[in-house]
Amino acid sequence: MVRKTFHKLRELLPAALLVLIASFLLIPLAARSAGQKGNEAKGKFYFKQTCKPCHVKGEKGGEVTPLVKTQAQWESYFAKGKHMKGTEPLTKYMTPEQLTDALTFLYNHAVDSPQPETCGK
Amino acid sequence: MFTVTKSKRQALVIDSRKCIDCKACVVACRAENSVPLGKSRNWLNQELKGDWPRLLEVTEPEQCQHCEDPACVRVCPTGASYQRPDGVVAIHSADCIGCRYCMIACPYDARFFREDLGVVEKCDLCTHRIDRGELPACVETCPSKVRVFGDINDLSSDISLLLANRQFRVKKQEAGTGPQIYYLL
Amino acid sequence: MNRRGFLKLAATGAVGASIVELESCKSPQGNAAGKNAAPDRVEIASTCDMCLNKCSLIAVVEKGVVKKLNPNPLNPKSRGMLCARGNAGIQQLHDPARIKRPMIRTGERGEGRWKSVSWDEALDYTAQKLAAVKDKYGPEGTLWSSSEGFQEEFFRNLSQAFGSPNTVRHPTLCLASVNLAYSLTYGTVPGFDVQNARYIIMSGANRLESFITPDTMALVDATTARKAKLVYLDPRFTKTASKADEWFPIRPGTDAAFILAMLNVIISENRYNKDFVSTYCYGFEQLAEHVKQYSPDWAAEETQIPAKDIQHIAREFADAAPRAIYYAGRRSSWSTDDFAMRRAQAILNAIVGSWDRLGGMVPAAKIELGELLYLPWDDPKASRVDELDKNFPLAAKNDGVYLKLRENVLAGKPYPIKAWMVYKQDPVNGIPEQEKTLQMLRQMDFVAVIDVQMSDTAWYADVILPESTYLERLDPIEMQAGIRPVVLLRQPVVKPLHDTKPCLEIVQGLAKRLGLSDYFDYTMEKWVAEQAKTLPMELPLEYLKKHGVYSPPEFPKYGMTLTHDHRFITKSGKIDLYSERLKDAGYDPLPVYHAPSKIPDGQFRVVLGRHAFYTHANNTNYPWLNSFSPENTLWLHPKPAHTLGISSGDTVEVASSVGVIKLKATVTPKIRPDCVFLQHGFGKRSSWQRLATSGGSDAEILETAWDKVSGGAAMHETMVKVRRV
Repeated sequence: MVRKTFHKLRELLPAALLVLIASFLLIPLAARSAGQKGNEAKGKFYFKQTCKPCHVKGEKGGEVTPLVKTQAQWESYFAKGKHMKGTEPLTKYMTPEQLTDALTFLYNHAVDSPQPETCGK
Repeated sequence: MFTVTKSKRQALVIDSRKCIDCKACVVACRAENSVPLGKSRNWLNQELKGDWPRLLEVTEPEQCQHCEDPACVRVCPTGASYQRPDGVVAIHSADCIGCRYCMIACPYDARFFREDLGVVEKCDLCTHRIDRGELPACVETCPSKVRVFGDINDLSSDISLLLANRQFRVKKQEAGTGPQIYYLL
Repeated sequence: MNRRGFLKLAATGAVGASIVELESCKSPQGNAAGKNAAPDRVEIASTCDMCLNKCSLIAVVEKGVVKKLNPNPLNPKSRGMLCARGNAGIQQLHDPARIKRPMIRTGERGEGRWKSVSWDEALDYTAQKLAAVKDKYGPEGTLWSSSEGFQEEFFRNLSQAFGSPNTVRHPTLCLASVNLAYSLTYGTVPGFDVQNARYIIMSGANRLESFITPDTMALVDATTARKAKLVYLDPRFTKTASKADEWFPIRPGTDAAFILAMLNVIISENRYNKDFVSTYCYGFEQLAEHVKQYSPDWAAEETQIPAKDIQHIAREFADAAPRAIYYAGRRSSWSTDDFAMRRAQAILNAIVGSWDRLGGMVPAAKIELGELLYLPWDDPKASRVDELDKNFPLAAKNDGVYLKLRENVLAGKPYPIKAWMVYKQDPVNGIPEQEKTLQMLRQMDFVAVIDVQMSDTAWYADVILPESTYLERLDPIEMQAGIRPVVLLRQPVVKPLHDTKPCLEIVQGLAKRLGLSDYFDYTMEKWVAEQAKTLPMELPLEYLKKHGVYSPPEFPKYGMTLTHDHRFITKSGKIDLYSERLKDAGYDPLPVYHAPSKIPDGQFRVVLGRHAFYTHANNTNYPWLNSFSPENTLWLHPKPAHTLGISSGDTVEVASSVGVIKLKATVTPKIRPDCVFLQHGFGKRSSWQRLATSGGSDAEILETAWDKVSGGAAMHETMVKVRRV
């Protein structure tokens, strides 16, 4: 009986393996990207409140807008979580939730984001 | 036709090719001069020529011609209609008795009767504006700048330069009143 | 004020202000009444709101009454003019039929029975009703529709703070297909440098008639001074047709064929800009292959424009480049394939290199304004009722797709919508197939309208919250991006004549009652002061209050994006001739031509358009404007008119598959024999709009159809039968 089950399992193994592999491939597609997990309106607020003061033209951080990176680059930047050429963590400035929100704002307006323009704001 | 004198002579040049019949001048005049609905101090003449699909449409603005020799002033029994030194033909409403001889005399049908006030009115080139150094309302408001207003006795004015460089015509020259609106060809 | 106080002020340099104050105390009347007497005559700079152009004006106010609205010469866009609508703004302000105080209906919806109430009562009632819908259906059970305006964002912010994802705006009743096509191609919607172009092609963009924009004035100048050639395609002989160098009464819905054939000629004859294409464009090879099928002979069959004309126009266009533009226009979608046509336009302009150069398309420049930081709210939890992600994945999210939204709302899926808040919009007239809009209204537990007049939509509301007109309000400073960006101020020229409020105060009144005050905890003055901070002049707010407009002198600037490291905001980083993004979303990556629907025998296609003196259905009730066209009529070509026994002035019945209207006919050669035209904004239901109740509403007969990619309402897909009655 055990042997029969064992043989059955061996038969099913390739199929099971395929299913396992396929599910790993599918998971990234089904789940939301890291860049979209947060709250965009809040992210915009945190960005303007915390980052903007230093990150405008003429100030020490240099101008930073969502357009300075692609979506992948923003995700990668926030995943690394470092600021000022790696000398300090981003969490020095914002909580992890706020960082998630800020990333969403930046991600949604990145230089390769699909953002059709509209009439008025 | 032009005498070189020191006095001003206000006139209008109209470039009908630029007119897109947007009605801005009619509304501006109505607002500026409290012109009641049903009457107009200025109006737009439209002509559609040809057949489908070879069509031609022209819109030509018109108003009082502020003639050199205004028939309306000649026939006015009270002197209510008068010509200013700068050529603008205006009306002292207080002296108007509403006899309407002027309306009969005008070759251009530029005048209308105000039943509610018992007087005749017409375009006066917004004397209250031009005396403040502003342009008549119709001239100023126009999106296409169809009308050019100015002193044709000043040979360096925009209007004079236009008349010197372009061909133009006047309306009903045969009426002999010397109209002072010049329509560019 | 005592002497010590005065000295203190003198020390701080504020003496000037106090002296003025003292003088007004000593005005001729010399007493309290004299101090409050309105000045004899003041001129106040502000910004028009009679259409979306926002021209600058100077209001002449005599003894507190607005006497005249004059142009403001300081705005380089409005160039010292004010159109018929702008001049008639006084009638919006003084309209005896204006809504003067909040009202709650007493009879049935649409009966026109109202009671005037206080603001407290109206706002309490509105908030209660919204809260009730939220309790039963969730905040997503409320719909918030609005059209563009300087205060619109407050209304939209309230909808989001309330928790509803369901905002719907005007673009899918207007230029959504243009915006999307150009956004997908260039990453932005550029301006068109009509002023400096040498060759301009316009499909139905009736710039010399439909409304007066800077491009209108530039076009008049360009055509009359013979600086540019204008080629114009339109089934009607409009004002623009009358000034065009070449006008073709193109078969409606075939403009894409015309443009694709132009691409065919320009590419096959090597007249495109090779350098520009190789440096800045993505997907040229695929494009070149794709347009091989679209020959001029083929296009001639489709468009009814001779092949030789298509060829010579294509050649002239390419030769005139980069000072050649196929003008995008602002029109609503015409056909269900409108997007393909706008994409073809965008691509055509690209391959001849008319980008970021004098006389071409120029990306809109911006001026940075300050921003008041206000407390943000959580993003709404539910997803949109029009299921945009599924149905229109590329469309602008916050704008919604109006027709799809209405369809879902009527079906009650994916969830019910039971409250409708409307700001500055007349959906009853603005959306095709009016009967469905009325049905949608009937389904609502609650309808509130914020407007200045009793529009047809307000007519069916439960409560009307009257907004103050643009001449009575301080609005947020507006930055208009463009080839010549400007900053505009709208300030009140008179105090509100009636018991009305600006949108922000209405929003704050509702927010207070909904527990959302914290998100709107600022005044308009504070908002505006924050915005002005980034402007370069001293005392920027004072500057704007005096002049009404600021225009930085360094514009226009050309070539800012023509650098080797510029990355376009597209998927490829270049100008997407071939769009991977479209492909990924399941659409044609290159524009594919689909022939328009055939007109059944004996029927006509309805085409729409605008006149210079009416803004949609907005101001047909103002006497100064109404006098030019007191009712709308049906334009009918003499040949079919003769066949049908119709003369000008006869009443005709116009029947589509969704509605029937009656109006008088105008027999005119200014329209294709297979089309009919009627002006928008008549046949109104609201008895307060008595000058506009005659004629017929196009909304009643237009069928529901939308552009496949942008969701824009396809306004030229309706066929009608016409008969004399």
